[in-house]
Amino acid sequence: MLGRVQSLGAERLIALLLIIFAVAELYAALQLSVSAEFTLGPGAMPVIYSVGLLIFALVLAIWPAQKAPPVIENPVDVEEEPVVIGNYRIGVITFVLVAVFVASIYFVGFFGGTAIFSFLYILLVLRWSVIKSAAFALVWGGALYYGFDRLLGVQLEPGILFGS
Amino acid sequence: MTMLSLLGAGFERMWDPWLLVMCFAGTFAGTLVGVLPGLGPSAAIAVLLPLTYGADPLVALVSLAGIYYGAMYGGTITSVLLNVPGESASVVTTYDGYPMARQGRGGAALGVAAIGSFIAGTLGLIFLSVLAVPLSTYALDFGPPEYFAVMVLAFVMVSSLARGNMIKCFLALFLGLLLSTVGQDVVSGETRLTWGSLELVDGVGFIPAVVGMFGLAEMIHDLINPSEFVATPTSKIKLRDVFLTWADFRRTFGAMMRGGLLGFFVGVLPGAGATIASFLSYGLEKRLSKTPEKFGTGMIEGVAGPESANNAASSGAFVPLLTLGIPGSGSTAVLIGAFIILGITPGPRLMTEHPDVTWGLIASMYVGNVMLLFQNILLVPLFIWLLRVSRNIMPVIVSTVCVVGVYSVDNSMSDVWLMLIFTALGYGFRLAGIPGAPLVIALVLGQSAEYSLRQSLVISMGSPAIFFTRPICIVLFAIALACLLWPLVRDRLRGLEETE
Repeated sequence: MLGRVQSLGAERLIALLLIIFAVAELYAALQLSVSAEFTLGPGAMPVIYSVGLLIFALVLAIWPAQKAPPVIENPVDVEEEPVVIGNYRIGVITFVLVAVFVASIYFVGFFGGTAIFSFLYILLVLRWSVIKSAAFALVWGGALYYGFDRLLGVQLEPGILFGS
Repeated sequence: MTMLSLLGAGFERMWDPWLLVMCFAGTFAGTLVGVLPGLGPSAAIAVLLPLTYGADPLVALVSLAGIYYGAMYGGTITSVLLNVPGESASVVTTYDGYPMARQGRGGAALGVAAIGSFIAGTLGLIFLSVLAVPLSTYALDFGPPEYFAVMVLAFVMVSSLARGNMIKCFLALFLGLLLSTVGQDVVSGETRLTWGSLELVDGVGFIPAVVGMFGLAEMIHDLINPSEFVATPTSKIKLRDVFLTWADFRRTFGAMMRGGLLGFFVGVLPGAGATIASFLSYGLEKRLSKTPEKFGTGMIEGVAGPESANNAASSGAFVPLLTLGIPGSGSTAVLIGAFIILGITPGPRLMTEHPDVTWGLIASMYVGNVMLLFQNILLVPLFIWLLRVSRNIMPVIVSTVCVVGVYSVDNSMSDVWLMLIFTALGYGFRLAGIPGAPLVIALVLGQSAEYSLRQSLVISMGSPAIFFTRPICIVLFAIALACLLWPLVRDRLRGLEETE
């Protein structure tokens, strides 16, 4: 039941965000020409697609799945997965840590960012000891950096602090 | 050249030790992915896709395809031993597999699944080999209108047959199509919907989208909704238990063959896929059984049929992928992306332009199936051990590989940020029950569909009649219309039945 209520809220939220997106894209697409000689112009398909998106997002916002009018079920009934509220914290922490990791790359580069992210995640979420967390973070950060930078030849960002 | 000589040439290429190593690595990684709940084959291919950037196309495709069909094998292990399906196609295996394990017959369940998967997977590959040449010859007659029609068919089938409410499927489809138009227009060269951003001139990257939606978002979903993982006596298994007895083999051979046939043909249909194939096979076996009431209590046919079906379906999915360039699911959409990134366009010309890659890939799947048979019989204790050890640190590994991998494709931090946006979107989609596969497929095929449409109109001097005067187009549009209307007709018929 809880999962269903959350799904209902998520449906409406996603639908509203997509309505805003579709309207913005429709506005941008209408600035382009919709026809060209013998064929469609560059704006035609974006207009069609944004109108389609707008219609389906509106339907979802007005009639979320529980009340959706023509309920076309899937060929296979799949049981709804239970949602555990308490674990949202881990999901949010992980997402925030990944975002911080990405931002930190500009400053400490990929090696530093990977090591810091791994250390913080293992320490805060898995609750390993500081020494074990640091050891894993250094080994994993080093392995990943070596694999991509040295073996695959990808030029990874060294970061402002370590860049020459 | 005949199918046999082409396949022979493919096997000749597979003698390369490096290809055999990559085939083993791919199938091993696939089995591991199947074992680990929460990390599906599409996520794993997406995460590992950047690693193959710049590699020899056949080497890359052999390993990525190995992940795809290997996952079908691996999902069984946790379904049987822990009652936790490693991926959706193995959900049905828990119905009888886990009760078998509780009765001390977990080894037999794993054995029948491995042998059934091998037989059906090989059967599917034989069908694939036989069908590939005639279909691709036929597909060579395709012009832009036929291409457009086949892509419309793929969009409709994926949205109408995919799991979930049809409105949500079409919502995802239109979002993907709209995103595919971002960037420079292929015909006029004008930039579209970029809002002044230089990073978007090349369009919305496919890799950030799939890695975000299928890699990170799935990982976060799994963290929030962890599968119960408890070591029980059923999870301990001896190697000799996995070998099937002759009586069990005779009893399940029919189920394996039926599952193989059903699975292959379901797998060919875009949008249907391995999960539906396994459920249909379970239903079929139950219907054919003399003791249907015993299903759910540990019937070995209830494991053999579905496991055979999901493996054959993964072979079937390669038919539209290789001959028409049409992905039928999220995983095959990611594989199509891999083809494109590696400089190979899947479709009718693939067989003639890159026969070495196509037939090398098909041959690798035969070899991979043999490798998987041995892996899934001999290495079960190792997979269980790896599941215990790696499960906790998986988020660290997946997150860092996603970030570094996405960056490595174009050395672009914008792609990494884009991946994070798609992660949030992918998780939102999961919460709202909106499938991600239509979005990804639309993102992959959207630009080609638009280009084919506009090219067709140029050919016909602007007349849309071109789509209704060519026989292949008419047939394809008719099938698309039927797929679109079928759920409505079915619901109407159900309603009539209920009122009677």
